[in-house]
Amino acid sequence: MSRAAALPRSPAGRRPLAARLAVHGVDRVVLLALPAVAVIGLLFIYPFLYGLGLSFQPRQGGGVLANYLAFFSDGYERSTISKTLRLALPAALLNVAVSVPIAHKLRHPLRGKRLLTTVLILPVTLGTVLVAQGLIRYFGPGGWFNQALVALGLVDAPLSLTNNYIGVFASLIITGFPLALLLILGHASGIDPDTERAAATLGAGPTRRFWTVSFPLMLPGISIAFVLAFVAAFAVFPSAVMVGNPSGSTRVISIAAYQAAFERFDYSMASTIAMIMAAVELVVIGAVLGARSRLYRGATSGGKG
Amino acid sequence: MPTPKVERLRIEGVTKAFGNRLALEGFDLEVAGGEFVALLGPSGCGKSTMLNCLAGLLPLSAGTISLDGKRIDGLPPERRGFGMVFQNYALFPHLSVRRNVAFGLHAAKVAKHEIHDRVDSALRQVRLAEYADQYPSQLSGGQQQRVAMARAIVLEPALILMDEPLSNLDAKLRTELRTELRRLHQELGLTTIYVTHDQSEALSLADRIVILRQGRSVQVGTPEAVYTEPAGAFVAAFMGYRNLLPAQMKQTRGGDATVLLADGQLSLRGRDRTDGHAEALVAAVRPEDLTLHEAAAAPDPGGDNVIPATVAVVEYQGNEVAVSAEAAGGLRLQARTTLRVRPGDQITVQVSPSRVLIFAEDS
Repeated sequence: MSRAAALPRSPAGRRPLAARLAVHGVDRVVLLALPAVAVIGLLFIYPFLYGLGLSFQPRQGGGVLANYLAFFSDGYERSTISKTLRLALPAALLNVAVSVPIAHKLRHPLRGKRLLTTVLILPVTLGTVLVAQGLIRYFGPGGWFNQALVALGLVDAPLSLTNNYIGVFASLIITGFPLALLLILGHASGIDPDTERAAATLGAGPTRRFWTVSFPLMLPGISIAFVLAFVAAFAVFPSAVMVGNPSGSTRVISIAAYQAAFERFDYSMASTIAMIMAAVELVVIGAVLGARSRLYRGATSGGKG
Repeated sequence: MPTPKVERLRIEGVTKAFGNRLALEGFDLEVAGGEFVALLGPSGCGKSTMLNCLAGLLPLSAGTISLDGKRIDGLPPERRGFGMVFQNYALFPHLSVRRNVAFGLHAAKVAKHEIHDRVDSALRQVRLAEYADQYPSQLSGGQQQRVAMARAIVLEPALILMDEPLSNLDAKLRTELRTELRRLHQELGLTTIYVTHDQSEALSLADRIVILRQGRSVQVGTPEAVYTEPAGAFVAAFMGYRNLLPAQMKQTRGGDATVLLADGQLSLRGRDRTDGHAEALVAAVRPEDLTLHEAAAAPDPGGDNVIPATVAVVEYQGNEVAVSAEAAGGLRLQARTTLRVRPGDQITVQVSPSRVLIFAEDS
């Protein structure tokens, strides 16, 4: 008698599908992911490969790399990379840097913790356009903030806080911070609080506890949060137009791609810019995740308890 | 045994409230240097709260803690110099075993070469020298807890606090590590406060046992004293008196009492441990103190402390069996015997009056 004969059989004499899949280490529930895989294939991988191909077929001819050469030889276009990085890197860094101590505090029992978390996370529900609108109303030359400063005699003329780098940066902080906090908080709440208590009984004061125990244990969450915050900020578009200076200091790379596609109708060039954008993001993500894998990224609690 | 680093730890009137609930209420305890004291009690009795208060991880609501005459209850944990071992080990998962053990020495700014030597010697003491470069996740539960012990003892703390350190381990490891703990204590002479809900751990490890109930200590004594002379029904239940039979007083004379069981259908003589005022009583008897006889070989049924019963449940336990028997009025008796009995067998159960303790029910 074979071992398989002992397993339950369906009327047709075959073992149920779930059992046959289990033999190959497949859980039927995993099949639920198939629609998502199909969507990603159709809406992401295929367009991406299509765009990649398109970028090597320049409208004006001149060889497969002509678009890339044109982008990098034109200083105005090329500078969009550094302009975007100048916005996205500090914004992501600041969002994460502020989230870390807050998430660290919110791990412990705290009065009003739920309210504080709600208030901090709520802006994630605001759209970029709504935030840009608010920024113009509040920080614009005629906005309340500047009116108050002038009325108090703190400044002679309104500060220029919108339609420049500051406006876009502020918008990236408002929309990016809740995301970063959520991610870091989610990870930090999985860290065994006894590790920090153990560090305290071993003679480590609060600063030492943070840097030698909590921070290293939070680092995997921090790096993921940074990567996602960076990618979101790097693709900035509406706020760069609405509260920035879209022909000057905040002409970010997505504006260059937009102009190529919908003002010059050069889809090939637009695809090229999109590919360059993806490449820059990949370089930053690779650098962060590479640095992270050199550091510890295992379990966040000591044992089976 | 080496000289302990402290002479006296004094805990006076310690009270800890969580909201309206009192986890500890006027807790007093004195511990001499080098002593191993176990805080024993069921979950929620306040024993872990007391340990956390000692470690400085919880602020006191009232009371004082002093070490050799110096108040320490206001100090943060990092300035108390106590070692602590946690139930879930609480190792630093991102650090190797060596770095885990060295953590406290680094914090204390001990010289590099000295750190290395002291870590080596601590790891040898817990027999983990060859695991120095591994990470906690690569070790078994028992090994992880030994790393946690090395991490605490390497600092030669004035006091070492252990919060149910063996509870997460399986039965075999638990006994092994228990012996290890006792050996470490004997070799190093560390003053130890050990929290547990397991009476056998407390009995085998401690020099003195404190039994807690609802935030108060109900008995303090040597393992032998607590085991043979429990102060009340609560402690007796903890110390293996599995038979706590509801009883009423019939008569009491010169330290002996005769009580009625099962609505007066049976009577039992034992040692009177009541204050003489209690109405509701319990007669406490250990299963191993009950002697079973087959009905045919029964002693005089009218004799002293002889109860006829019917075997209900038999559990095989190797060289003897655990028997649950039913007597008149539905009275359940737990006994152990080497007799070969089967459910339904008629038996008689006998107990020496010196092995029966009569307590007030709420004692």
